[in-house]
Amino acid sequence: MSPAFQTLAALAVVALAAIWLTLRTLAQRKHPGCGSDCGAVSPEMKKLQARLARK
Amino acid sequence: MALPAHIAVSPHASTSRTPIYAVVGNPNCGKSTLFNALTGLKQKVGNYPGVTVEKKTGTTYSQHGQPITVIDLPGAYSLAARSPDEAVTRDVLLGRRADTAQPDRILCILDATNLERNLYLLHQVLDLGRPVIVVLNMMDLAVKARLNIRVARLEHELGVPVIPCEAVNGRGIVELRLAMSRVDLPLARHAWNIPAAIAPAVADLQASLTANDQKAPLIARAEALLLLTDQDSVRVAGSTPLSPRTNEILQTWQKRWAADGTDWAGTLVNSRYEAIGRIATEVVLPAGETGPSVSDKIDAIVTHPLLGWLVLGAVMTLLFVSIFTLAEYPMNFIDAHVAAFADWVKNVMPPGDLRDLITDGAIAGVGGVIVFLPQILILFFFIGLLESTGYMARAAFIMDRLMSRVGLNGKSFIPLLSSYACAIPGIMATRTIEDPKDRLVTILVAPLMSCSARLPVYLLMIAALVPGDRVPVVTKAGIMLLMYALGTFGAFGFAWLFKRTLLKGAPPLMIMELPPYRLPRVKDVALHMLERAGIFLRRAGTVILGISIVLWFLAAYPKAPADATPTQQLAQSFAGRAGHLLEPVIKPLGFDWRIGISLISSFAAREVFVSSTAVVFSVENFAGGKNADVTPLRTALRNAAWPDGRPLFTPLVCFTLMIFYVFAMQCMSTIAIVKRETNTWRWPLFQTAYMTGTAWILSLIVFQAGRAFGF
Repeated sequence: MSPAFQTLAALAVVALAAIWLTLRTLAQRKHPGCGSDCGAVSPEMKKLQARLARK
Repeated sequence: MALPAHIAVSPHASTSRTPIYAVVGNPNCGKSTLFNALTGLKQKVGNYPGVTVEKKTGTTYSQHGQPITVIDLPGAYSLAARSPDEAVTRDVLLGRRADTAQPDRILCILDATNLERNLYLLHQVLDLGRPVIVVLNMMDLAVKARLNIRVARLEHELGVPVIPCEAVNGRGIVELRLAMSRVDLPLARHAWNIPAAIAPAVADLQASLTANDQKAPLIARAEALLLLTDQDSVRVAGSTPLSPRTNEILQTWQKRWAADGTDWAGTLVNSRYEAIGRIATEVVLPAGETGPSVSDKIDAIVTHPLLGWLVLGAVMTLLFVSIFTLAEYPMNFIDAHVAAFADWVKNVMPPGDLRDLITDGAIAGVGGVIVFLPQILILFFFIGLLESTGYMARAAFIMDRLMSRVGLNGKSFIPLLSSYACAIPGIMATRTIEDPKDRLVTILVAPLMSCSARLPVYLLMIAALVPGDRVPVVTKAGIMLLMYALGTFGAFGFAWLFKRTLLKGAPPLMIMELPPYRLPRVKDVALHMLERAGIFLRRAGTVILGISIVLWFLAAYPKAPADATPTQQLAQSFAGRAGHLLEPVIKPLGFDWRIGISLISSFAAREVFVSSTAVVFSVENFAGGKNADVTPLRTALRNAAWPDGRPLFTPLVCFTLMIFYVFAMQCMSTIAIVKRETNTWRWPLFQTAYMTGTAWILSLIVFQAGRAFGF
């Protein structure tokens, strides 16, 4: 793996990460909130939902 | 076993239209759990147009597979609305909202452990003249409290189906679904004697509401009773106003009563309470006199004005001591393996940008954060234990005393408690606060509570501040406790200030319920802990990974000449230039431009500070393609130095950084949610300014004073 190829690959990964973060930020502006990241939904409710989903 | 008559299979099970059920009940009566049990994942969540009140609708199915629409209305103690949430409940039930169809039938959920209090709302709901099914929820807790509730007697008194239920365990759901499937639900035998002197006013208003507001006669009567006892002061967007004629009649009666000098509205409310009292006496047989229960005896200590604080302090200290003692070995294990993995990548890949991106960006960034996973797991395990035993409510009780003294509403406690996990659900939970000024004060101070995103920052700084086994674990726990206390008392202090300056208002009313003590369900606590682990790892593998990759690029480009040192490379990179721009502002706090880079990037989310620091110091250590061994972040921080060789992360700098993170508004998502909840940019900008300003000033005082004292 030549240094030049590594540079190109690294820059491509960086570009992908930047695009993904931008899209995520834009999506959050439309639906602001913590999504499911903050753990605010009680485990009890999630358990119940999972059980009902299995049924 | 034969089913009771009211849930027996109906011979006429088919209807041409999907019936709409509204679920109503007091807050915390298990309404949402029941709604979830009925509708499962078939739910739609949105907002009522024009108001920030959540609208939840779902579909359940009758015994014959026909769909039934269920609307989960916000919790309310009565139809006399005191907050936007309660106003929405009232408006939907009275058919005042054009955006929501008036429900055909009503499920009224009662907390069996607090039946008399819950009966007030039910009594008003029965006035509406719609078919009602009463759900007696939390029957298990009522049994434990030795309350003897005569369900058949309640059914007889009201004349509507009464279903005993334990929504949380799924008991009674089948019976409820069968009752909901009935086509011929009976109307209530609602015996309630309105005082004779008030009857003409009710009749007048009822006639006008029927003629001028197109209300059905029974709904019109219920609304007339409500209008005469309630000032109807809380109106929300989307609510159809009363016709001028009805308003005129209402005002005429109110003026007449005022001139009369008799509190007829109060009389009306009292007569309702008398009717409720009679039902409660018939239905609830009191438990025998047994003296104070075990729960009462424990409460006498843990809610004591002085002992309560000592117990809370001891519990929190024990919690933090456990975090540091139990997590040491797994943390070292993860730390060593992350470093070993980065070393392995460095050895198997030839030098180049991709290799540096993987080791100095991805592995350093994500590894720097996941090393704190054991401590976070232990913290949430203990918090889960405290919640499930019922102790958290007692902690809330003693905090509530303090909160009311600083002018915070009793209802602010839940939003503030939620903010210890994350400020966003905390701020969303302020919707239950009826007074707009109290709500705004709570929104403004909620992000000061130490959220879980601050935890990795505190842990990293404590690790750098008091390394390894040189100090007793109690010191580490004490520092952690101090940070949590600073955030909490800072929030109370600012609430006190805002309530006396910007948002002056009347002293708030305290509302507090203490649930019974329970043995913790370890399985639930473990599930909660694992869920937190999943959330933490998901964030580490997505947002933090993405930011670490971008930050690596910003720290590695543009490239310096080949003979530049790693520090020179970092200094002239994009990130380095941004850090240098910030340095004049943060240097008085003891921070250099490299810490500045982390401060800027952690504006996305506080825990990004840890990954950014890891990336910055990895790039500095390894730029230039050297095959040196990877140093764990905590060690790298201890080795970091100013250009003149002085250590950068001195104990004083670490402590100052922690103070900065206690108060600074380093969270874009919180700013966005405050903007949405206040519907203006004014308050989120004010909040960012006051929080970050306070963080800077306090950090300056701490650092400069510390230096003056020789630290």
